Amino acid sequence: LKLTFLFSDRVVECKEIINLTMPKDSKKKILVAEDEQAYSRALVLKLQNSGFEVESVENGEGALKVLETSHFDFLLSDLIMPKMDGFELLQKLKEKGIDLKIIVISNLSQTEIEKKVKDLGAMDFICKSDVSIADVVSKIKDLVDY
Amino acid sequence: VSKGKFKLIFLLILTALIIFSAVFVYLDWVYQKEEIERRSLMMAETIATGLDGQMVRQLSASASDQGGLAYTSIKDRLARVREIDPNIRFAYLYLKRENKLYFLVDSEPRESEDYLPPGEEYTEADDYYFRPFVDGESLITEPVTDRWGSWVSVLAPLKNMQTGEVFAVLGLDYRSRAWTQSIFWETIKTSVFIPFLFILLLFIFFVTRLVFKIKKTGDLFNEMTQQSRTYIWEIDDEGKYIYVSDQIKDILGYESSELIGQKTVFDLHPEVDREKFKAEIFARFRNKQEIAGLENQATSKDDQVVWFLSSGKPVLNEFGKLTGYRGSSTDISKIKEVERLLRENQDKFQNLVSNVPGVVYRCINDENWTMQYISDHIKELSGYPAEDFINNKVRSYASIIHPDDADLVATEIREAINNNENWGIEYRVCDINGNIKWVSEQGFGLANQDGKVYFLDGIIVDITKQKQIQLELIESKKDLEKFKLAVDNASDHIVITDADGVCLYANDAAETITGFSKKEIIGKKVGTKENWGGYMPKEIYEKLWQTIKTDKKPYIGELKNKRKNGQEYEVRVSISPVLNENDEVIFLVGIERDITEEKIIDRQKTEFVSLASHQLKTPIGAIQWNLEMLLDGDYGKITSKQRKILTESMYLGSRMNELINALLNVSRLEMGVFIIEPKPTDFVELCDEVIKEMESKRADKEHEVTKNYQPDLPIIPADIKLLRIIFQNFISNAIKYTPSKGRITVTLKTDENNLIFEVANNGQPIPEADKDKIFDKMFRASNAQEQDPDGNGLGLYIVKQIVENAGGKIWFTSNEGEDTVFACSFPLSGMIPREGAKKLS
Repeated sequence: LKLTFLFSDRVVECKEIINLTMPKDSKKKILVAEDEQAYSRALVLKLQNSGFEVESVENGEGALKVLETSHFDFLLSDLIMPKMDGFELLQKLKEKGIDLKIIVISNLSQTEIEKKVKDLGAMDFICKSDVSIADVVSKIKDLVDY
Repeated sequence: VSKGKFKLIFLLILTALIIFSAVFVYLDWVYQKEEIERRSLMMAETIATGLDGQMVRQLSASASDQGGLAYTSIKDRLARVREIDPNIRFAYLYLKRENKLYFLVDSEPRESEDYLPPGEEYTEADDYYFRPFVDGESLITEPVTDRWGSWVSVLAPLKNMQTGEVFAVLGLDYRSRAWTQSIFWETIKTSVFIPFLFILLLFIFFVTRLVFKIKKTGDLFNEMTQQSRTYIWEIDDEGKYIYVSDQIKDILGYESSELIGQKTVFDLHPEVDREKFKAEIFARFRNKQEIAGLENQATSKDDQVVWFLSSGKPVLNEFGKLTGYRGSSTDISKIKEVERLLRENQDKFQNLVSNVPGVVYRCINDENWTMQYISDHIKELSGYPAEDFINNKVRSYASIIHPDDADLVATEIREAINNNENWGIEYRVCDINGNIKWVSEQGFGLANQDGKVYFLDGIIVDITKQKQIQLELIESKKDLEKFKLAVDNASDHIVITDADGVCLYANDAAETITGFSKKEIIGKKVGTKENWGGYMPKEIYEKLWQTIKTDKKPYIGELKNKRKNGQEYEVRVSISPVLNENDEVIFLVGIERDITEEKIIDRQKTEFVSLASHQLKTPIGAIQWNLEMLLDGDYGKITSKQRKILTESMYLGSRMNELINALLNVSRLEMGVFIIEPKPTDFVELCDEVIKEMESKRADKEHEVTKNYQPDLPIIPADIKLLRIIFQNFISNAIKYTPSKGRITVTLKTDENNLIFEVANNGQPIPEADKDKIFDKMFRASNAQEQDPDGNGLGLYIVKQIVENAGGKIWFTSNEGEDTVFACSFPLSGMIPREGAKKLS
C-alpha cells in the first residue's frame, strides 16, 4: 500500500479497522439520516458489518418520526437534506428531549458549523471527504461507552 | 515789577486824572460861562445897534408914547428878539432921567401880566443898571431878584453915533436858572466827554503796556537780574581785592569792605581745586594775559558755590610791570544749573534710548528718510553702524527697506502725516547679510509752526521672531483647518468625547451613519441606548472602558449598533484615548466604520466558498468511501488486479480531495475570509505529533530525522490548525525532496523576540533561477517536478499567506553544499488574531 498525503492524516489502512470491529454484548442501534444514497448505503453496510444495528432515513423529518417512536443509541446525521435539514432535526430533538449520541457527518467544513452543531447537542462533527469510512466507524466505537 | 508797585502807579495816575479832571471841569466852566456871556453881550449889542436910534429918541417915557408908531415898531422888534432866543424872557429899553431909571418900551404884549407901561420907573434897579449910562459899556449883571423873579440881565447901551452919549439901554433878561443851566450843560458836554476820552486812552495805554510788559518780562527780568548779578573788581598782582563793587553783597553775601584788602580771589575759590585755580591764574599773570570768558567758582558767605563768568584786563604801571587786574564777574550759576540739567537730560535721553528695545530715530521727511539721529540698536537690526545712516553718510535708511515694502512704508507714513496721526506699520528690512527681518515702526511727524512736517520721530522694533511665530500659527491654523475639513468630511463616523464619553464633536458621517443629528449627539454620552449603542452584551462595554480608561490603550473591535430609524448596523470601532502630560485621559477619539455592507459581502463570499466546498467534496467523499469499502471487501471479494486498480483510484481520489482543500484554502486566503484564532500552543507537542503522522510517508526512505528543540520553549498563542498546516507542509516537503538515507533536522528555538521553526534537509538545493518564485502560487521548482510529479504548487504559497497574515515571517536558504532550510517565525506575543468566517481545512 503506497499512500502519500499532503495534508490529511485521516486515512488509515482498511485492514486494521476490520480487526477492531464487533461489540461483545447487545448490538447498539444506529440511525443514519442521509439523503445521498452513495453515502447512506456505504454507511449502513459498513456499520452493519461492524456489528451495529442500523436503520437509515432520507431526511430530518423521517429521522424525527423514527426517533420519536423507537430508541436508538446513535444518530449519524447529514446537515444538508431536503424537507428538514440536520440543524432543524437537532433543534427538534433538543426541544423534544430525545436523548441519544449524535455525530454530524457533512461536507460543510466550517468551524462555525462545527460549533453550532455541537451547541445543538452533537458529540462530534465529521467532514466526510476528509476521513475514511473506517475512521467514522472507529469514532462511533470510541463513543459507544462514552 | 512787583504787583504793589504797579498798583501804586495806577493809583497815582488815577489821582492825577481826577485832579486834572476837576481842574479841567472848572476851567471849562469858566470858559463856558465867558463864552455864553460873550455871545449874550454880542447879541445884545447887535440888537441894540439894530434898533433905530431916531425912533427911540422920539419916545418920551410916558403913557403918551403908547400907540405911537415908534413905540409900536420898537415893541414889535423886541418881541421878535424873544423869538430869536427862547431863554430871553424879557427884552426892554430904559433911560435915565434925573438919576432914576424909566422904562421906555418892553417886549410884553399889553395883555400880559408883566406888561410895563412906558414911563414906569425901574425901582428895583441896582447899580449895574446905571453903569452903561456911565461908561457906555455893555455888561452882564449878577443874578438879580425882583418882582418878576431871579434874573440875569444883559445890558447894552444905545449911543448917539456922533456924541457917544448913551440915550437908552437895552436889557435882555434871562432867567437866572436857565442861564446857569446852559453854562452847566455846555460844561458837562465837554468836561464829561473829554475825561472819558482820556480814561479810554489811558486804558488803551495800560492794556498795550501790559501786553508789552508780559511779552518782555522774561527779557527784562533777565536784564535786571543780570545787571545786578555782575560785580566789578580790581585785584593786585597777588590776587588780593583792591576794589569790589557793592553788588557782591547780593551775590556772595560779603560786604565789599570784608573783601577789600582782606581776601584774595583764591580765598573765595572752593577748597577743591583751589591750588589748580591759583596756578592757572598765576600763569596768566605771568604772561600779562587778558582774562576773557573764564568760568570760575567762588564760595558765598553761607558756603554756596557760585559760578562766575569773569573777564579782566591786566593793569600795568608806567614801567610795564603788572600791578593787578581789573574786570568784572557775572554770576552764571543759573546758566550752569540749566546746563547741568540739560546734560543730565541728555544723559537720561541716551540712557533711555539705549534701553529702549528698538531703534529710536529722528529723520528728515524726505525720500531717503535721512537720519538726523538713529540709536545704536540699528547695528543689531541691520548690521550697519548708526553713523552710516546719519545724513546718509554711507547709506540711507530707505536703502535697507525691502524693495517690495518701500512703497507701502512711504504711503502709510505720508498718509498718517496728512491726517495728522501717528503711524504704526510693519515691514521688512534687509540686513548686512541679506537676511530679511520684520520690523514694527511707530512714529509721528513733527510739525513746524507753518504746519509742515520736516522731521519724523519714531521707534523701530525687530519683530522677526514674533512674525515667524505668527506665520507659523497661520500655517498651522491652515493645517488644522485642512485637518478639520478632512475629519468633517471623512466617510467614517468620527466623534470626539471627553474622558467620560460625553460627545464634544461629531462629524458629518456620524450624522449620516447613525441618523442622529449633531445636536442630538453632542453633549450626550455616545454609544448608549440614548443614541445608537448599548445593544451588545455588557461585558463588551466593560472591556471597552477597561481598555481605554484604565489601560489607556486604543480599543479596536466590532459592534452592532442601531440607527435612529431602528435599523441595525455593524461597525468596526476604534476608540483611542488622548492623554495629557500627566497621563490622564482628556479626550476620546472614536472612529466607527459602517461595515454592514462589508459583512454582507463577507458572508456572501463565505457562503460561496462553503457551497463550492460542499458541492465538490460530496462526490469525491462518496467515491472514496465506496472505493474503501470495495477494497475492504464490504461489497464482496476482489481480485488482486482489482485491488491494485482500486488502490490507485483511491490514491487519485485522495489527491483530488487534497487539491480541493488546497484550492479552497487559497480562495479563503485570497478573499480574506479565514479565521486566525490564537490560543496558547505547545509547539513541541504539535511538532512531535506531525512528525509522527508523517512517519508512514518516509518509512521506505530511511531518513535520519533529528529533533533539535530548545529546552523550555515558551508556550505562545497560535492557531493550532494553521500551525499544523505549516508544520505538515515544511516536513512533508522535506520528506519529499530528501533522497533516501538523507538527513532532516527539525528545529524549534527562540531569539530575542521570536519563536522560530526550521526544517533543514540535505536534498538538492533550489536552483538559483527559481528562488524568487518559490512562494508563488502554482510554482514548482524545475528539480522538484522530477522528484514529485504530483505536487500541486500550492503548499508554500498557502503557508506564506498564513504566516504573513498571522504576523510572522517566512524565509529559506538553499545553497550548493549546504542544507536547504525552510523557516518561519512568530513574535513571542503570538499570532495576530483575525476575525473571519472560515477556518482553513
